[in-house]
Amino acid sequence: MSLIRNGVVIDDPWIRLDDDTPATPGTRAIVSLKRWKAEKPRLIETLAGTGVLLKSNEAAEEIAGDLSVLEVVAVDFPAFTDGRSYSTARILRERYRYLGEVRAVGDVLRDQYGFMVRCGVDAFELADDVDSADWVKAVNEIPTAYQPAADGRSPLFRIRTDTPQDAWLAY
Amino acid sequence: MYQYDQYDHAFMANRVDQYRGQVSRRLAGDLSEDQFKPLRLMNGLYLQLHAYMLRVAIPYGTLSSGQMRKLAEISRTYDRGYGHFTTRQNIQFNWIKLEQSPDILAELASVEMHAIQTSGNTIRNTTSDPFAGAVAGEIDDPRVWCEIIRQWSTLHPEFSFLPRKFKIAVTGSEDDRAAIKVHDIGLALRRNEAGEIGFEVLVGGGLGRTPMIGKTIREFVSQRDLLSYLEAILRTYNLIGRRDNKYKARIKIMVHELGIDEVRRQVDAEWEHLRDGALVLPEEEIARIRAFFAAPAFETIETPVRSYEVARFEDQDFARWTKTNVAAHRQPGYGIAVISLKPTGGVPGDATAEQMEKVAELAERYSLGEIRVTHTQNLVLPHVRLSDMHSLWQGLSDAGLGTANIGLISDIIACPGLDYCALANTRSIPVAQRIQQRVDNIDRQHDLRELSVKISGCINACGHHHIGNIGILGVDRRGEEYYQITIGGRADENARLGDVIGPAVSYDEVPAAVERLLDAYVAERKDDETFIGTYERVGLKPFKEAVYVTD
Amino acid sequence: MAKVLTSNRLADGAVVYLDRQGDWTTDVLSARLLEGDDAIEKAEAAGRDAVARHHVVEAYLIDAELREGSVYLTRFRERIRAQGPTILFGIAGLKKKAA
Repeated sequence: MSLIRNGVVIDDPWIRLDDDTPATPGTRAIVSLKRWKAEKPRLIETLAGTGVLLKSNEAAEEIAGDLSVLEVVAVDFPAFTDGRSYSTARILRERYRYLGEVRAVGDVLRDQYGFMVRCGVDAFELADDVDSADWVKAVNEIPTAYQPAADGRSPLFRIRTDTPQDAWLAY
Repeated sequence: MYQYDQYDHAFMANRVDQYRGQVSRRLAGDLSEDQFKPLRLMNGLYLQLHAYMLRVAIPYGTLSSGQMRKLAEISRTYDRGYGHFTTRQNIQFNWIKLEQSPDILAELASVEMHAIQTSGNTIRNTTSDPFAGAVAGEIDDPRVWCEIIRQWSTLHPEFSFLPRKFKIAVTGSEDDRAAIKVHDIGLALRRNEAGEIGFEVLVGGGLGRTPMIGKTIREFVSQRDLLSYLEAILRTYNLIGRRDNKYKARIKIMVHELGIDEVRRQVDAEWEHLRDGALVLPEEEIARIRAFFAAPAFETIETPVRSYEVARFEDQDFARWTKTNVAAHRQPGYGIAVISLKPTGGVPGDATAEQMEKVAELAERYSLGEIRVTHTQNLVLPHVRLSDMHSLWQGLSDAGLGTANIGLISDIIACPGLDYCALANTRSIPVAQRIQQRVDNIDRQHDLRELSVKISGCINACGHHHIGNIGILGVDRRGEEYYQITIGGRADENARLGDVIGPAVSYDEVPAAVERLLDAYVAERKDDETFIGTYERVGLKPFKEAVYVTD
Repeated sequence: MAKVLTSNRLADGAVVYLDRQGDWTTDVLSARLLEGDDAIEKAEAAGRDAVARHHVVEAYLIDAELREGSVYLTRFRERIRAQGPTILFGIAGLKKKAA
């Protein structure tokens, strides 16, 4: 298991807390949406940092009001074919202007890093060790963006017409 | 037609390199088949019955002579000397080697072609009217919008892992030659009361296991709002489309289960966040793309064109060909020539490398270098001067491309079927051939008038059998090839799904069954009625009784 | 019902069959006829091995029998897969039975 954030492999400062394990004071923990909804005030009080894991069928709207106290939102890809969390990540970034860490967890394949980054994911929890240089290479394999997304990259139609970037885009 | 700029070229080069890397990793065993499969599908490479099959995109069915020549070259160098034009305006090569596929994509890129997203749970080729830009009475050229949609949907980071494949079609005419009502999203160019051009948007059409006609989700979306509205639909589908059952994962099921009103409500709610945002295309970009589809510099020609009329008078075979294969052009003195890939006993939609080259040459000489692919598996030369029509026809006839049967019974649509496809229950191609042989008399075919026969080798309906006047669906009965026949389907703006006539018939019985349907039609018809007209008037009973006659 | 183990070669997609030597052949007539659980298990293991070696894509069993001394695939689909399309076009024709 490794964590790569903004292209740098780091030790994970967050622990994943299941629904039954008590929260250790002073730790930074990611909990399920279910637990977050049930124990929000207590978690905020106990933990040094709070994060939520959204399953692929859980909507960004559910935590929209809490984003100011969530340092990390993990979005799950239970199977690499399940593409729902791409939308969730974009909604967090573009609709709710979320500036914390959006972390991809689950069945994340190398050939998806680029798509995920474009959707606003900035951290990747990976099953195997990852080489930072290879990660950067994978992400940048296709530098062209035909359409706007959450990464602030100018879509081609703006580059071509040299239209200034819209101010409202996140990042 | 659209031409790549430096950015498109750079993108394509990167894409080919990326794919080359993926193939290398697969061949080295660094990627399992499960991991590699979605990647190769995103580049149109299937593993089929005999070998890998590559589906090359022909965006909205438009290609140049140079591109057609490259396809011929690819079929020779990397395949077995022929290709198959499909019901979604693409071309398929059946004998591809995985290890050569990156080179093929590089060859395609050199002529601004690709196989991106012709497979997989992605947004597929956006198809259109093969007569776009050539026919009179279009509100706007739909291909402008197809190209805009194509670019927006290319490697869309949010929509590359949808619940299922997603197909969009655009029409610009009242006559729908793009079958938009049986697409996931159908777009019809419309004028609103203020005279502005925009789109009626339909969703949830589709064929296959559960065929459905699309429903209008919005009566009018402006040009400015098109992409943001499409994004709202796709996002809604991505989030709530079913992922638990492959056969219930298309947007048509979502529309069916939630109802169009609820889908509209959710899409509109999503759209509120997206409209007026980053997807508002600058006017300049629309103009830039539109310029590629500007009408060519047509000549001013006096009509009637005497040489054309004389040729028709003197050459009966030519006259007959013009009756079925030449459609009216918006510009006086020109015609739209349809090239039949359905000779009797041939393979519907197939063309040899030589035939492709011939078409390229004739397009250069007679059609300003432009070719179209229909989704009835034929080709079109869109801008032919009537004075050249006879020479064109002679050139086509020399290459076995002069069959005068467009829209007639022998202009059969057939999927590749069990002869090629791993999904099929039964064969389709020999069924088509045997029906053609049955009605081989061209006078008889003309007497039968417009009659679409569409054959699918399995429920996936790639042959579009549901929307054939006569539809034939292959089913597996205890290991034997059986066929269920439907009648009354239509593909046009009055799209309708066919009705089952009775129990499935065996492979041997199909031609006779079809024959009896034709007899019933001839017996019942009034005046100039076509098969579908007669069916709509008299109903199923006479046809059913004709086929299932008890001796 | 006897079986044959078949797959597609990874690199070129060719239809192949596990033969009596444990190799993968394009010639269906050289395919190893598998009779009994023991033979089938051994073959399936060879299949898994070939997949792991990334030589073939996915190995699976198909029904077969001996007819007049030759391997005969009972499903029509598999016969088409072995012999090529039933219709001739271009230079497609029937697939050559090369070892």
